[in-house]
Amino acid sequence: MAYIGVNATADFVTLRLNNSADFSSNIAAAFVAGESSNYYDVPSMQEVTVNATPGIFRWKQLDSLSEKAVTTSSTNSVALTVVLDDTTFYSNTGSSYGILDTVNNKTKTAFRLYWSGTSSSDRHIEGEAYLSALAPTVTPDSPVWTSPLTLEVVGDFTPGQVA
Amino acid sequence: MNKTQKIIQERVIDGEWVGATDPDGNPVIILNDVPVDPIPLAKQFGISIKSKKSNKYKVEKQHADLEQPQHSGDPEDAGDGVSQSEE
Repeated sequence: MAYIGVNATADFVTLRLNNSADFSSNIAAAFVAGESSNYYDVPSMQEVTVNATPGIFRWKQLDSLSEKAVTTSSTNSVALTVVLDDTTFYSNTGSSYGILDTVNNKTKTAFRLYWSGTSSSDRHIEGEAYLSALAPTVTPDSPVWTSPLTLEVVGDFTPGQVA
Repeated sequence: MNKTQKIIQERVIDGEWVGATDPDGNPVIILNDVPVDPIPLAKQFGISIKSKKSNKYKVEKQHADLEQPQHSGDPEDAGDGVSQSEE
């Protein structure tokens, strides 16, 4: 048993995005070295939550004291809060839209979330998603723009591991 | 034991490198996204790598070497080179 720590430089969480092309047939291809000019890491994350929730259909029967249940399709998403970075928010990275344009254009994005570092053996999940729930906010007492951001996942999370 | 040492130890069995290789067959590990030759690092940790042969999975060359994207079109050759069946 080993916990997954993120409290060292080499173990930081990384969220990588690439929407330069349609990678639905092979999402891993979005993050190979040859795509390094097109993918970018979302900087300055403050919190990340991975949601993987199977739907449940419940019903009652006259011959049972408890409800029955079956699963329906899962709803998968990744929710995070970021400190907005001028470059990744506004500017394209290679052929990938920045965060704002990705949301505006409703562009499907390949994503990969590294749980704890990006070195050999480190684990990640990846998939495709639409970016949503962008809501930048600033106040006198927190005078830096921050925003929630949700990756509404299309299909499954696919687990993997750095070679 | 630091993270690098742990990675190398896990990938050397009886002196043989069982981890990833680059397209030329040389051992390689990824450290913070960068492919690195593990042999000199292994020496620092007192680990000897006798054999360089491994066909477990391949890692693309370093970014600087990539004038052209090297997509083969084969899903097994893409990504970090790790297929689900290997995990």
